[in-house]
Amino acid sequence: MSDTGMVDGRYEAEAVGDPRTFWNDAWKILRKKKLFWISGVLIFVFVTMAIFPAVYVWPSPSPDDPSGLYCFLSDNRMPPSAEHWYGTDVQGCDYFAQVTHGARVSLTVALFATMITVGLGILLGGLAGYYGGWIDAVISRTADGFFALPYLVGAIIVLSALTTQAGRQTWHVAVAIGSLGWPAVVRLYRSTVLQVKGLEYVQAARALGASDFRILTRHILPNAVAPTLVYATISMGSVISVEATLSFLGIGLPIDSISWGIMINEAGNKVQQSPHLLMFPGLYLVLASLAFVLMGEQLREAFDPRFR
Amino acid sequence: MFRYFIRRVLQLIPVFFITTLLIFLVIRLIPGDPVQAQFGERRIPDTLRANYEERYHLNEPIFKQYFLYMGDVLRFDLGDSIATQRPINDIFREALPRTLRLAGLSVLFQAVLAIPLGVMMARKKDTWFDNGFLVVTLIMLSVPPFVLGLLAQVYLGVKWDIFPVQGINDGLWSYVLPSLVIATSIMAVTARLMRATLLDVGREDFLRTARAKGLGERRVFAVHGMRNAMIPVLTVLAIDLGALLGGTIVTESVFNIPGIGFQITRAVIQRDNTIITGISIFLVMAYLVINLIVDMLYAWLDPRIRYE
Repeated sequence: MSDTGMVDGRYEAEAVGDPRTFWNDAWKILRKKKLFWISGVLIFVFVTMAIFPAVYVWPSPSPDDPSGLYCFLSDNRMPPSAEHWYGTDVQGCDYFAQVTHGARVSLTVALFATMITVGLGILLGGLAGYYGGWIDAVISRTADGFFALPYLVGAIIVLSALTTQAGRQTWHVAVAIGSLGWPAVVRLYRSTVLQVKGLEYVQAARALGASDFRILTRHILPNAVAPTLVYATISMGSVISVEATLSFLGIGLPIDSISWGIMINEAGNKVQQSPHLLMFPGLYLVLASLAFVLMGEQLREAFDPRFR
Repeated sequence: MFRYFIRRVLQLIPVFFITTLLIFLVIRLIPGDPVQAQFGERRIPDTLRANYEERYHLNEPIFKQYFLYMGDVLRFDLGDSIATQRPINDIFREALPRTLRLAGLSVLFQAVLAIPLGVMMARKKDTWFDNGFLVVTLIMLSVPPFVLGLLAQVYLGVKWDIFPVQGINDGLWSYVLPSLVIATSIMAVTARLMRATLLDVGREDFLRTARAKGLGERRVFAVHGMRNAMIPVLTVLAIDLGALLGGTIVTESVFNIPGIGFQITRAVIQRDNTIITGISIFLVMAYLVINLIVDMLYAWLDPRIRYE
């Protein structure tokens, strides 16, 4: 950091010559927030856990060493110990390794579902806000219709439609969750478009002959990036939780995937004897979901001028 | 008021038809033969198949199927279960009171816990109490109900034996623990909303007027502040009631309560499409009607809305 003895953030920025942009201001607010750093570190840990689980768990050098990924049925449902930090599961597998590897599928589903939600929301919200008229009516009424359907019931309907004889796959779950979240983004984005589309610089662009597509992507989209980013971050957190719920009910991820929801489902009737089977995946699930929700809240406060 | 009511009802109609059409199409598009699904691998005699197709209108074009079905729905007949031949109305008569008890108690507990908490947070704004509970409510939001439910079941039900563990054999008492679990996981939103609206109302001119008139702080807060801040909170409580009719699925499954959620989970596993359609359409209707009532309440409490 280049703070050369200056206390005030604004003074420092002017001294160093940083332009006072929207993103710069937001960053100055963010970096003073404790919760931003806490959630940032948590997100970093879970993301690296998802991409490189081997950083956290590594296969043991020999099969005789039970501390790695090897499973020994004779060691099933052992409580946490120095050898197995999180104990072992019903198959005698090291639970620390299992829980760590669970991050990948959770974050993948969350990322893809959020991308679908935000993509659809921006596309439909942009069309509805920009063109208005019957396009707006159809899109907005359909969005209202989606709001009327409870989230979980909607996911159940889409999942049963997607599931074929070949069974469910991970992307089915991502599509099912993603195809339900868009109405909220549509409302958010549509209102941004309505606010911006009458402004002088948009009219100027139109007068210069810019196409609708160019106006929507170059002039209107940048205005909506911040609120959409906030929504997407919070959405990551809630998707993690919804996916685990579906998997817990037995209608989510395929039963052989390594997922926190499925671990908790399997722990279900053994919680009394082996509480660790519920505690560790439950803790990771809560932390992962909380990290994104917290981060979203901090971003919201940094981006929204009303909080400044 | 009456004209406002008529306008709101007219707005509901397209939403109702769009949602039900979407549900109907998605479920009818589920791959596989719905008749064959009821008979496993066995061959179905032609007369029996013709009987099924006649009864469920499966031999008609899909849009005609929809209109025939909606004709029945508008006469309050949701048809028969394709798996058990049982009228879906009978299933509702049995399952709905259980879900209503669960949802009603949850909303009650939620109101009792969240409203005082929100008021306290607003009155102690920016103290450790307020900041602490802002984080605590976020954590509560991130704990999925099934994790909380399993924990509560094992500790409060089995180990300490305070509440019934599962089932509905103890009358209303058996609904208390599941409702508390639901209330805990959704009260965060209500408490934060109560806090935010109370703070917003605090800045309004009419509060300044009330103070200027010389009213005591207690009266300003209770009569002028609370009454106005309660409007959005009441809305959320009512919407929660509607959302919970379909939102108790997970809790019903953890605590073995044979309500609406239990029926829909079973229907998905048995591929009982007529039950999935029936329950979803019922939930949409319930949500829309509750929202209509909430809007009317809103207009009655805040006359500014009516004349928009």
